[in-house]
Amino acid sequence: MSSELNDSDLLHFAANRIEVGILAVDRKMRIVVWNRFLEAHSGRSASEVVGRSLFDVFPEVPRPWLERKVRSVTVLKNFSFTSWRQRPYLFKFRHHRPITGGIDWMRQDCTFLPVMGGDGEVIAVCITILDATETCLYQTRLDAALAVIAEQSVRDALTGVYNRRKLAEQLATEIGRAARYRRSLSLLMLDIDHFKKVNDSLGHLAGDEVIRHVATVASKGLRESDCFGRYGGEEFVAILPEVDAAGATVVAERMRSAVAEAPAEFEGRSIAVTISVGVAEVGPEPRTAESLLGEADEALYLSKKKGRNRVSLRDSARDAHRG
Amino acid sequence: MNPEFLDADQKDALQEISNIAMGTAASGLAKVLESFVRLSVPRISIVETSRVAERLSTTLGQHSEVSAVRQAFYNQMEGEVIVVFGEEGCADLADLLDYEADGPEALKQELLLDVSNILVGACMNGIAQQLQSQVSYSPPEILCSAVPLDRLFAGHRPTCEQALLIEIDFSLEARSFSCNMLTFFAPESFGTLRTSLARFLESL
Amino acid sequence: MRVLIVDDSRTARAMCKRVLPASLQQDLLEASGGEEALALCRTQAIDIVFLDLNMPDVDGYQVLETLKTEGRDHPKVIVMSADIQPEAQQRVAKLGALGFLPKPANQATVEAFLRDHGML
Repeated sequence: MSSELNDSDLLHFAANRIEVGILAVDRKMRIVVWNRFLEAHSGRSASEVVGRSLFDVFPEVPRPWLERKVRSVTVLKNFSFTSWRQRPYLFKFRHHRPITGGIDWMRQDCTFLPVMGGDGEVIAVCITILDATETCLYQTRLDAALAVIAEQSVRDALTGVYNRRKLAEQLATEIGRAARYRRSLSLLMLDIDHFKKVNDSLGHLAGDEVIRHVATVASKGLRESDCFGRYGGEEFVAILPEVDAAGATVVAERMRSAVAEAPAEFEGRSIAVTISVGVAEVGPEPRTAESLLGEADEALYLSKKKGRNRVSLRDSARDAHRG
Repeated sequence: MNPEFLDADQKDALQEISNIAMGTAASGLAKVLESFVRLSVPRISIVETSRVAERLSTTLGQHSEVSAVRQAFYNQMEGEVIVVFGEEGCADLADLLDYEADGPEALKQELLLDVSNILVGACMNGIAQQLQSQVSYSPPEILCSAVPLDRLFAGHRPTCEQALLIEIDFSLEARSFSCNMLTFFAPESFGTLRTSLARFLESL
Repeated sequence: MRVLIVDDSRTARAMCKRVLPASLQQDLLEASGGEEALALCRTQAIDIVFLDLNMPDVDGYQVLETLKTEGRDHPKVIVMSADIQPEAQQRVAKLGALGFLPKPANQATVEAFLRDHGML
């Protein structure tokens, strides 16, 4: 540069030093400008690429999409943008985290600027490319952390199954769905028999282990679409969409026998466990979550009354009597 | 600043200026979508930013779910434009632009961002030009995706108490696509706006 | 020549007036909506109408349709609108408009149009 300061020289100098890619294409998509950032990241010098079609030099750039984008800028004479959030990159450039990145290519935010000629028409489109890799990495880490927090907020800390709040949400959703599409829906409420005795005789830690054990064994046979969670201290609920009372009774019986046949283990001791289960089905009439839970609870009570370690439906004779 | 900071003539002028700018925006959209675009008359009001969502339920209440794009403008006039899309119409939009309706979420978002950018650019450029002002833009970004209307601004608290709002609705004939463009001018711009409008009216 | 300017915006009517040649500014009426415009067309002998499209209630398209149904070839209607989509222009032509001038119109364009149609 000459010793006198010339603003156009300075701008030219700056354009080749900043951490932003600057490229321009003419109406035939030939490269007109290719700054140093782009030389450094692509490994292609300006003298190699200027004058050639962008697609010849970079065949991996999605041609129909880019042509449409550039055309809309040319026709509408308006800025356009792309963001790494929707389109990770325009060019496959390496980023500055070869060891610590965990990401394949540089993430890019691009701006498309119409360059007006003397006749008021667009003669070139200038594209600026910003390295958005850092932002992308932060966002990914943040999203992962938020996902963990969201999961934790619906899970029971001790057993890892869903918590009561999630059960309530899910039940409301399933009841709505069952009503709207006229599908079956059943609910199981199960309770660990004589749990107080375990706690009193073997201690709370043993009690915790029993709860964990029952959660694992009872939920084992369930489907993806079923929702199993801890409803109270030693109480669990299973929501079974598309299942009627008969089907739910089968599932409940399977649960009961699995628990009865698999004692819990604590500090070398084997602890025999059984559960009582109550079954309730939604039926054709509209139901609230409360009434369904109430019916399952009554059925559970019936199981207890009849001697525990069994599955019951609510006594329909009582219904007839009430009706 | 007096809430009614524009007099009747200035308000009328702003409405007509918006109308002209929106016409260009609709034309841009029509070119891209190759479809006839219907425009509503621009509605201008001063709103309390904390109550915007409430207000919107009257005009946008028919959509069960919405997606929205936001884009800021700055320089001689300052504010944000939010373009709200009814979820039902997005499949139509995809269809018109030869995107698969059930394509990946990122593609659908790009679509909304592009359509929004066309509208905002044309409209703000139109307003700025007629008022002899300069504006620059931030890139558009997705504000929310497929949420019920009352969650449009969820998690975002307004920085100012009041704004000038210009509302315009765009829809396509014989298609379920529609979008509402909400242009908010920040209070910092009220003075400039009034001066520019006064100058504009004087030239008539 | 008696001229009618139809637009719901007072600013727009002022902008239109400003770009009309002096000869057309002598006998000038204004209407702020479609209904008012149609009423004036029926009762006053209007020669030229400058018509906006985007108006609440009765819009420009409806005005054109009504004039067409009523079998009027007078007044001549020139649409002046911000809605510059090609399809808008086609529609108004089909509805019998003499022409379409995009807003904001300027004096030169208006003059050229009027001259081309022998109205100056």
